[in-house]
Amino acid sequence: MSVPLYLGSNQVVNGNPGTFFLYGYAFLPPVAGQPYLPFLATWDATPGGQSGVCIFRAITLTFSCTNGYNITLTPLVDGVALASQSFNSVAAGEQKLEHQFIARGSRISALAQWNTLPGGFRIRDFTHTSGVLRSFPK
Amino acid sequence: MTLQTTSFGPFTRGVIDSANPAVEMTGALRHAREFYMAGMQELAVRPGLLQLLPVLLLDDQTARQPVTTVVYIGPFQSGAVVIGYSSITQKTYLYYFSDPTFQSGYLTVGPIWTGMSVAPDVQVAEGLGELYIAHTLAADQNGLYWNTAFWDGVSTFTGGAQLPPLLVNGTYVNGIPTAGTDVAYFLGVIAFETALWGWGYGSGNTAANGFRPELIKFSPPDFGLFQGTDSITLGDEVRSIRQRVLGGALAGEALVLAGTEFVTRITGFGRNSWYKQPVDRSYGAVGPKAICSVGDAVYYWSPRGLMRIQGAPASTASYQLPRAEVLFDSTVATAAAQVNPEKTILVFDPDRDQVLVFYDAGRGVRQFLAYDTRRNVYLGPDSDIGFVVYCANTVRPVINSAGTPGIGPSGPPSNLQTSAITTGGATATWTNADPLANTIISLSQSLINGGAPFVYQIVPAGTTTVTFSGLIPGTYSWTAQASRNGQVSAIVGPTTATMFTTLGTLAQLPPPTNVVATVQPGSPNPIIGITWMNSDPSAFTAIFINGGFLVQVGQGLASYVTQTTDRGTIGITCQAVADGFRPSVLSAVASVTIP
Repeated sequence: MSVPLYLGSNQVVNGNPGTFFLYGYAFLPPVAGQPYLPFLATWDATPGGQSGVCIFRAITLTFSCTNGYNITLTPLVDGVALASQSFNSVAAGEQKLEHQFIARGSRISALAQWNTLPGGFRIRDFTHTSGVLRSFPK
Repeated sequence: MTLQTTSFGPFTRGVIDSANPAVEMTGALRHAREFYMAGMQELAVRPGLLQLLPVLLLDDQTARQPVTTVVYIGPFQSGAVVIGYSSITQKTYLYYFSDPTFQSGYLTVGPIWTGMSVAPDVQVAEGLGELYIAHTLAADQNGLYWNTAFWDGVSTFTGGAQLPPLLVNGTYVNGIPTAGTDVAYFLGVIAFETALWGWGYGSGNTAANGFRPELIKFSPPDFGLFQGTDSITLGDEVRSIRQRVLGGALAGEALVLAGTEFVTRITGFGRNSWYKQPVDRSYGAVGPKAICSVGDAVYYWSPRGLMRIQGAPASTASYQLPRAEVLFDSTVATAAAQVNPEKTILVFDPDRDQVLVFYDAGRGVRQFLAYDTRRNVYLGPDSDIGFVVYCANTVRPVINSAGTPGIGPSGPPSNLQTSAITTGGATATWTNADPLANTIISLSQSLINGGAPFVYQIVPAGTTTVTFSGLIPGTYSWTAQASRNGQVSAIVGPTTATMFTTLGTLAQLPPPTNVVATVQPGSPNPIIGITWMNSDPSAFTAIFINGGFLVQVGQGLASYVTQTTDRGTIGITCQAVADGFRPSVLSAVASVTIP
């Protein structure tokens, strides 16, 4: 059984103030015109240690969705954003998006930005692919 | 060189927005906007849309206009109440919804307060089906402004009338609370352990005595009348605005009250056992709505961020103090970005196991972050909501059995008559309002000590008479009540038509014998000892001194001792009495001379 959560406001809707709302109703912005786009940012991973040297080749987001997706993946190596890649499909179900690139550095993190929100999403994993050229003991 | 694929996750640590990158952060996210934790540590996108409820709350102008702000939403009885504020009329109004999903119409109860220039921060409590309403603008060191209001759950107020005030500060008379005459100006109220608690008001009608921000008062059990003696002081400084109580919430067995500089836990089960324990004297809460209850814990938003207090410590020893847990280390950056912290709202979303923290992020951005109370992780902050949230609350629907009650009796019996009185009985007759209802006939006997009614017979439907028989001589009365499908009507009777005295004569008890009285010195008066023999061991004994009734002693007893102020020769007699018998004649007089 769902327990509804309500919010009270001074928001004017259709010319009427003093409105109140049922929260979390559908995969749309809270109020028309407001942005409501999921976003994930990871912390840095250091496969070779903080001062190690690595080759980074890909970041991969795996998830399931109910009504397609439109997502941009961006790798950051040593804190610097590399070129992004966008993925767009109407397919539902299990998905795996892999953004391939090549970069050399110590640290890698990743961003996933939803450009639209067509339905529900559940995140399976967010990974990076790398090789260690020189490790620094952790 | 071999390439390896490594996960940033699984994200079991939720969001940590500020950390030393050299610390191993595997399993943590730096940001997770519009996500919540589902199932076993699975990140899921949060449905964001707010459904506009199809309700316009109207003010009390001749041409009614919508209120401008909804300041409270909450459950009440089997429905819900909403409190709205109009900046046009500068009034605050109470509305009642019998449908807790807000999909149907509402009852306009009436104005609560008038002459308010800003929307109030309201706190309410429900008890015995009645509603108590207070707010944080009620009083300050300069005056008492808007009283604590009270709604009986039924009445409506129109034509300039508004909800009545809560009266407090009665006095106990022989342990019984009496009504007070002081109008309360509480800054907040809450229900705890069948008592109503209010804070911020002392006594009288001036700020000098009335404004007591550090004081809390509690009612007797079952929301009884507030008594002037029943209060607890939480702050150390008297009448210090800096140490005022802001809000409260329940945590398991405890009431947790938060002020700007402290959090105090109160446990107990009545006025003789209330026990206060200061838990946090450093952080406190930022506002009256920055505190919420989740299971056996209370969460509150301090100037640094989220904190938690369990209702009971890990040990079962209740005198041990639970700790104030710091939960804000993971959200230092988010907390630092807050503005107007006094407007922060905490609410528990049981559908997603989260405490939602609605706050003002500045530059017109109103957003929230969430703390997952089951997995102990943060998520968010989410995107701009797009408007100012004044209140947030859950209203759980009332779940009733799908079964519908059977049809009850259409009415009680009428035309009750008694006839055919005999030495041991009588005949009762009546008219049934519902021919399909049984009739419950109860009989009571008027005896020396009074007779409790008992069910004499449950008469089948359609029958309109019953005969009492086997009664010992005496006076009786009877009542009738219709019963159908487990439901009953009102009880009819006793009336003069249902009272009767049988024609029989009661047997007379034999008198006590061998009555002896002795006197001994006593202080301050002599002591008389009386003994006798009972002719009937089941009888009570009434004792008379000089013809005046002294006392009735219990069945089978054969002695009695008393002091007397009488002097000279007195006569003592005894009489046997019992239900169903005539009293005996008086025994022989026992005389005794008292010096």
